[in-house]
Amino acid sequence: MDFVAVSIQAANTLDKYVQSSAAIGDPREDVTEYIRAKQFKPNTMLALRELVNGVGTEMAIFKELSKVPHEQVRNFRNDMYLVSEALRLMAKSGKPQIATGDAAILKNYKGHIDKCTRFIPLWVKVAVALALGLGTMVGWKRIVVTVGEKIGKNHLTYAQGAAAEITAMATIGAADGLGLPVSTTHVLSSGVAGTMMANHSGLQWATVRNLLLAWVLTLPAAMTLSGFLFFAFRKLF
Amino acid sequence: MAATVPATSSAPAPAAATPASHMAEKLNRKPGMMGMLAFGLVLIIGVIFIGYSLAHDLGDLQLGSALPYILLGTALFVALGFEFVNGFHDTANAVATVIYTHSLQPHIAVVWSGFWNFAGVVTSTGAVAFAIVSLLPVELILQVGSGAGFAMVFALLVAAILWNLGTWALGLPASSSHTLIGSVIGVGIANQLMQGRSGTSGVDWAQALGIGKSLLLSPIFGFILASGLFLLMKAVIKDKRLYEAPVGTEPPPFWIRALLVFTCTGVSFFHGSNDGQKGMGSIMLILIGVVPTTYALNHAVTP
Repeated sequence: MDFVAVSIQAANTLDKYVQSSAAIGDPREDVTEYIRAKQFKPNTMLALRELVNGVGTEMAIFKELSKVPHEQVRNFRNDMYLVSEALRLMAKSGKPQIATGDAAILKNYKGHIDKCTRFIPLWVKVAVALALGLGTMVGWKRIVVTVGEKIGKNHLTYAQGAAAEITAMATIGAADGLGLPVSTTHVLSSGVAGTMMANHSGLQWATVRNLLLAWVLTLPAAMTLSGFLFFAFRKLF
Repeated sequence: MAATVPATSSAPAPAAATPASHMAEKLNRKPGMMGMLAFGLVLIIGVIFIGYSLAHDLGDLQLGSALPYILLGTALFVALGFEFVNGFHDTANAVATVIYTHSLQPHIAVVWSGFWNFAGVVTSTGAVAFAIVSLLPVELILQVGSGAGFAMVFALLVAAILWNLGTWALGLPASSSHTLIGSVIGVGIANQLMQGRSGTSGVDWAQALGIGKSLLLSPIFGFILASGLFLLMKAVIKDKRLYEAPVGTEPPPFWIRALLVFTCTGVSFFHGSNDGQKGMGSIMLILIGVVPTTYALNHAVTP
């Protein structure tokens, strides 16, 4: 089976980097701790190798993912998740240094693992698409009015609209390419504001103030809300 | 109620009155019967498909009680509610300029944007979804079927819904991306604190800093780029019509109109892809937690 071969290859590759000082602990715990705290220790590599071996052995027994017994599904998935995340963090942090050839082997292996655990059924995509689409068609007016009428003192001209929208599209495109999270919302509203300034049209400062407030407050507000709710739900569940 | 614009008038109408009243009329017009029917049809087909797929997936499962089903239903409802509220904010990015320049009728613009949102979602790969999942505390991901795991998912979603709803109610364009990331970080910190560790360990601060930087820079970037682009247009494109507010409901010259519709399409598509994935990540977590046998592993793959 392809996976088992790839798995053995990955374990052998990892083995090259296991230091003699490493001590065997609980592979799951050690790798979990690494992912949580992001501190690479000598034991981590050993633990990772053990997990990879474990996953490979189990896969050889089960042969098909649909044949994994109910009771073992969760653990099996968790092991694969841990391996994938650990490999990702190691590659990202560069600790320890892995030779290019070895890195390619590990990346290939990770690809196999991810295929097993990362998938989204079509019905989920359809449900999400419908919910999103519905939402866009129901609540759109409020924000559209803010952007169109409440930022600048004068009515948006054709050129201003074009400049702002091109900016928004270019920014998402660039952000996507660079893997950066940018806020299209903020880019658009500030784009409109920018064209208003460039046109000497004047800005409605009340709106701009509100925009700035939303901009500054969103992260802390969401953090506080979710943290608080988490405490509350932990008590309840 | 027809707007009465004098057929021959050389004197300009009072500056604020005519464009504003045209726009108000446009925005308040209700979608036609055909539009509503078509929309209803798409909705019904979608729901049937979802119900059928879910029933098929869960078919062979013998779950002990009704509780998992109730939990699944509630959690799905909340996750989809999150996407629904997300939608309120998103459309504005794509359609505001298209509507205000009369490039498309409001309801057509919204449906067009909605369609491309849908396309974006369905064609997305899920990479962003799983990237968000990996921002969450690893111990909770591993126990996603437990009380702690559900607390995490619900806290995340409800917080984001509340903030999205609140800012929408006030008409404030807030960023749904940052709302979600804030929720994720908040859960991470709360989880750490509850376990008696200092709140700062376990959160990927390099990641958080990067996000903070992009939060700060993107509006400034947008402001500068758009004003620069506008000035460039003014210098290069001499057509006076472009720099006036629309007269009545006249759409812009063809090429600008096409450009605006094109950018609206692009923004809708990318946004659908991006924002849809937030909901998908949450839903996958829920499915893995409640019905791991079916969803924790990809049955369709031969490793």
